[in-house]
Amino acid sequence: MLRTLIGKELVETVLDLRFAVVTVLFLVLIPLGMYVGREDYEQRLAAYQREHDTYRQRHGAPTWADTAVEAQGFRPPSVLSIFASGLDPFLPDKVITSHSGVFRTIKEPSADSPQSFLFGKIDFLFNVVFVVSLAALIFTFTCISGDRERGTLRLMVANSVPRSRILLAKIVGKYVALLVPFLLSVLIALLILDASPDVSLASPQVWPALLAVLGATLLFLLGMVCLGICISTLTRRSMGSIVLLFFVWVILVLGVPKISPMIAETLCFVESQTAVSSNKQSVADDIENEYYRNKEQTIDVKWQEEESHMWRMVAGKDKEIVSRVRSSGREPVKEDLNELNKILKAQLQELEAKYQPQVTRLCDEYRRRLASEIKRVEQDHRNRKAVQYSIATNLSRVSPMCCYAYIVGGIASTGIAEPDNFIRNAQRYQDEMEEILYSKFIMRAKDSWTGVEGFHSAKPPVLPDMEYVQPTLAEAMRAHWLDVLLLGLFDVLFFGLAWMRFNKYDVR
Amino acid sequence: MRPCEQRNPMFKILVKKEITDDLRFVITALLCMVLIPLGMYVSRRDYERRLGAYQREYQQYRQHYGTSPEIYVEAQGLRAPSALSIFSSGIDPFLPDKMLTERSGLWRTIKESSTDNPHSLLFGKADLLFNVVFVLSLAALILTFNSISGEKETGTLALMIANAVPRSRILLSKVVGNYVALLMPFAVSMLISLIVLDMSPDVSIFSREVWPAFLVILAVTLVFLFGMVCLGICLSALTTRPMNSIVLALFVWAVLILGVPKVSPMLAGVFYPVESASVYDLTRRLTAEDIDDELVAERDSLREKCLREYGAPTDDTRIFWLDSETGKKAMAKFKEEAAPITARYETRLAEELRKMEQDYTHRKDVQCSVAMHLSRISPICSYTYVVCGLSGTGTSAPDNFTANAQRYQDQVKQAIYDKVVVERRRYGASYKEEEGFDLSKAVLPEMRYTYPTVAQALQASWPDILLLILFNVLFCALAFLGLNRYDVR
Repeated sequence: MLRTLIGKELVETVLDLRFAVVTVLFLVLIPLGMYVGREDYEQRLAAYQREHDTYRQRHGAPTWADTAVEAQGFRPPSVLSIFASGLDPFLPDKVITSHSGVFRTIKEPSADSPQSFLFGKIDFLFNVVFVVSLAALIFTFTCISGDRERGTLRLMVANSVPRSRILLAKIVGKYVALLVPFLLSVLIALLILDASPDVSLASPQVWPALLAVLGATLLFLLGMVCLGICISTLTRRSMGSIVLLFFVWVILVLGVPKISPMIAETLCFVESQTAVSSNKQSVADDIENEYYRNKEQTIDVKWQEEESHMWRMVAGKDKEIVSRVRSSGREPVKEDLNELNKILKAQLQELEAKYQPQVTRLCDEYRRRLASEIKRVEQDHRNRKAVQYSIATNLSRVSPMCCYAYIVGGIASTGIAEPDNFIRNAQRYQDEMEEILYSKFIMRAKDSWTGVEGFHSAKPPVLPDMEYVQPTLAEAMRAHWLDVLLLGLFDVLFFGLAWMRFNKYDVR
Repeated sequence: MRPCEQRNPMFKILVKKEITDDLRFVITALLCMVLIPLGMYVSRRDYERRLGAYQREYQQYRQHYGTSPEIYVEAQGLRAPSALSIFSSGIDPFLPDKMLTERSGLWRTIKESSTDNPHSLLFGKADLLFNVVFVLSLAALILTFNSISGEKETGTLALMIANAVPRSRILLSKVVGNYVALLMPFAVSMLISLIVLDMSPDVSIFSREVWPAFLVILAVTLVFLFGMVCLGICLSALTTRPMNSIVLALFVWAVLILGVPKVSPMLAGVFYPVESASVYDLTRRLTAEDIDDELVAERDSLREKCLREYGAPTDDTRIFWLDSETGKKAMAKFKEEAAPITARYETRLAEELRKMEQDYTHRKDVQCSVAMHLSRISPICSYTYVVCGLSGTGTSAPDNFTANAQRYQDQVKQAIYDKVVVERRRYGASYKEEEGFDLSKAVLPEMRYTYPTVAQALQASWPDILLLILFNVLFCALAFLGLNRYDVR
């Protein structure tokens, strides 16, 4: 009996105009979106590689290391960003490390046409959230109320079939009817994707993630089908269903995601990144200035005094030697002063040996202080952002669309956690560079640096590339298990609601 | 009873019937009341934040570099956000925030990576444009999709036609009734959102920049919504059952809102490919460096020649020789002969860069206009172009930024760079003030970022406005044709 019911639902859906329209929409939009995403990815990848190569050629292996050398790290685009471009267009492309420990991020202006900014991109995520979810609701909104209007529901219930089975048959039938065109278009889209020279679906980074994305999509679509049926059971007439559907869809897809960050912002204000970086810069400037002041007052004064004392002494001796030579009846030549020069050199070295360690110590101390101060400012900002972020995330989880977007974005590493991931990568690269290059220099005075012992500017180290680490699938799933769970819960909730309502439904 | 007297009450009754129809009106009103003021509030906050960031950065920059600039200073220009971007943020989040002028004439743009609020970036902003395009257009279709086919199914259409009312009048009353039903909640929510907007300390609706543009935006929105109502009725007249109407309506909506706008730039890219900005930037930079290298090489050989002429030694003692009388003479001669070479290379560099830029902008313009024309099949695109154009965040905003940046570069060049003589050396360069110019008393010029005025924006987007009106006429005519031949049984 269940099979007959499912068959009826399938046939009914497939023969309907809606099925044809939805199939056409899917077959056009999903492969097209994939094609656009692929082209876009290829372009971004090429830009990344070109920039990286240019940088390598020019600055990768510097022949002379001085303080002007600042290593740059580049962010490669993630393959999965084809499925969900997410925050990718907003993320910085490269990081420029610096001696001061404050790295800068750079965002190149994008090459896309202004229209595509204005209207957004149609990636897989967009298609699923906007088009497929709407299609799922359109398939199902007349499921109960429409059947009642036509009187077929009464006939069905009159048979010896429990209502739960009718409901189940409806869900399965609609779900299968939705999945057939969807999976077909995804298949075509994947074929298009695999035809790209830069993307290989069989590579170990892609296929598990792809499967996970598909799994989440199926779960999400099941929820949408259940929601549609649930809406249908809540109304008596199919016209009422369509209005309710429209309302629910707008709220879930447009309302909740856009409003929740705003509520979070109102509840917990966080200053912008620009403000934080200017704050960091001013902290760094203050500490640097203090360092120079301190150095001048405690070391330079003594050093210079001794040095000038020495010069005075040398000048006296100089005159003495000259007059001595003159008195012996010849003009002084260079060789006469050799002795004195030797003494002078020795004394200068002695002075340097005495004071340089002090400078180094002071410099180290201030360096440490600078690092800890900057870390503190960042940590403070990060903490407050984390609060706002979690409020926004948790609020938006009212909508299954948001949960789904978080999962896919997380897997594609273009999600809301990606800016932090970029910062982490940049910081790691900065630290690495600090160890390899920047710590080899010691500040002597403003804009005057010397290398540490054993470091030769003419033989600089080879600067490594930034290894941009994207979260693995397991990490992404661990970060988003709650969203997966919620998607499952939404499915159960909508199903339960539909079941409860349907059991009490007046079929007349 | 005279016919006109009879006409009016009947028409009024028909209009009233349309408005007081059903639940849909309540839901539309609810959505409007919630989403539009909220969107306005969010956009206002966002604008205030952007303005604050701009002002802070501007002040910091002024304090550091504004007066008595250093001799090798490179002035920065900051882009002030447009107050109208509250209505439609458009491509504002993608535009660069500042530009760095350069002595070479190759100014650079800087975009601060603004991932402060990842959620709102991920899900987009709910500004007025978005609300009208997504929510209100869908609401218009939902309000009207069964206006003909639904009446047919319930049998009221046959009753109405049986009266002495021409079909055109029934159609007109449906259009007017549904339009009014849509406008009422929209007007109320607009009023609320304007109050929300006016409470901001940074924005005043009555300021000269805001109100004319706002009025035009409002007028265009009304035209657009009228078109959507006509479209819904037209779709209803083309189908016989409301279930088919709704499916058709949602299909058309998806194609017009999601399909056409997103597909057309891509099609334009396929028809007319243009290399990306980063490639172009790289070639520009490489060309400039090549020319620079040539210049340095030629100057070096000239220097060598001049020094040889005066019999300069080739070993380490040259430095001392240069200080001698003959050495100074040789250097003077070199400087005299080098000046025209430098000038020639500078003009060549400028010429090359200009040519490259012209070529690139031209090709980009062509691609952009192909995309634009393709997308104009959809009234949504035309509407977006008009509103974004008025807000200064439309497709021409990048060009506007370029124009502003170029102007500022020229300004700074005139004020500072031209007054500082740069002596090129093999490594680096030395800077010297021109005679009679005191850099310590100089003030860096400010960048006055201008957005297109309402008149300019209208001039640029009149085809779109015309198209919107044409769409209205087209949909009306189609609906009229459909209803006239409609089988009311």
